[in-house]
Amino acid sequence: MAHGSKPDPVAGFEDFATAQARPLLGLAHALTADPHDAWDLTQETLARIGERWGRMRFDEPAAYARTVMVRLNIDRIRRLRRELLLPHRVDEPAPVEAVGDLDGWLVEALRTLSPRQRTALALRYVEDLDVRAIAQRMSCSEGTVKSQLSRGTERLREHARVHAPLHTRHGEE
Amino acid sequence: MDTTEDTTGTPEDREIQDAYGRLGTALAPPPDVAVRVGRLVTVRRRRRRTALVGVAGLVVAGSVGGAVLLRSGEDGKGEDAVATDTSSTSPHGSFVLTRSDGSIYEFDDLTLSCAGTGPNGENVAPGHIVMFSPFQPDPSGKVLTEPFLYFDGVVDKIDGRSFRLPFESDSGSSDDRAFVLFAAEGETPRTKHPNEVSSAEAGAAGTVHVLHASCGPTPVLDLEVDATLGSEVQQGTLDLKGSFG
Repeated sequence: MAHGSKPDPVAGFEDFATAQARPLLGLAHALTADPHDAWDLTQETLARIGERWGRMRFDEPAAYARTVMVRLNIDRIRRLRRELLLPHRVDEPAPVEAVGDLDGWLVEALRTLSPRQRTALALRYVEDLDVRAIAQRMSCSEGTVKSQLSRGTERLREHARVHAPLHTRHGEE
Repeated sequence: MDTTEDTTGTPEDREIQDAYGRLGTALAPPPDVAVRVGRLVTVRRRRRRTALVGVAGLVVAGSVGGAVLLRSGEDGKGEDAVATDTSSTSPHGSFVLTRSDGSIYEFDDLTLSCAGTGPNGENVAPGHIVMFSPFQPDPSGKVLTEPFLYFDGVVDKIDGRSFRLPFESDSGSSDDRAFVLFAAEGETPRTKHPNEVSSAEAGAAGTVHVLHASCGPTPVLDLEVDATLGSEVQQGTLDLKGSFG
């Protein structure tokens, strides 16, 4: 009987959540193109990690959190809403703060993409992953990733040509 | 087309890259993010524990309901709230739990059931098979007087499979688990803080073999357990061995 040691199950988790919340929120923003959904996704991801913190050994918790977030996002319509314990959600704005510039054309373009396309692009542009790593994160083939990236990138290019700042439309930086 | 080679060449691509950079830093989380998430985790853990107690409550109802249904079958009245227990059976088997104080407790009165949607929601969802020992609380209903054993599995995910412990779902959510094996010590004068252990907790080890599981007219669960279960209440591990089916 091991009553002697009672490790704190959440020791270290607060530090982890505080340190990772901002970068995770950034990835979530790219995944969802919506501040509210980004916050939900970030909170849900951290909650999943928190539920296991102290019970499971994480070699790379930050990387694991991103994998959890990606998989949550892919089918979040089906699962995330059901699991969030936020009955007041509809009435309350997300508690995130806008602290930087936002390119409206990108947000609009992302909203026209499928969740999988947004995911592949976010992992490419935000996480700077190659095709193989993206495929691992998304649990799909490299061919699927290439297809998602190709279609998604082309859509973004179209929006950039039409809506992005003048220097892009003129081909000058 | 390998898009990894052509996404940075054009002005549009550079604009996309820059815009993503801004998008990724445009939002800041609330300063109390850790507190908010911690609160959510606490609520979920409490909900999970409540759900287990709820299932235990169902066990009590099921035990009573089984007798009621037996009579119902005779007199044609099937309106009892535990109508799903019509699929309950009483296969043979037993499991031995080694308690914190080293004593042995044998679970040999086990009930198997494939329950439909019931008052306890997720834990009696269609497609689940549950096996449990009698739940014996004190008159207050809050204290276990005897050890309790509970297995809940998703038939499609466990049939014919073996699991090494600890076993968690890929997502880390208890909602997605293929199965959970849970045991609780009863409270005695010597154990004021009875241990509660499960197959999903850190410290769990060993194997759970589900040789067969199905929910037909007669539920079937052929189960072999040789495991150490991890504590859900920050105590030590407990050993559980036995078979059923």
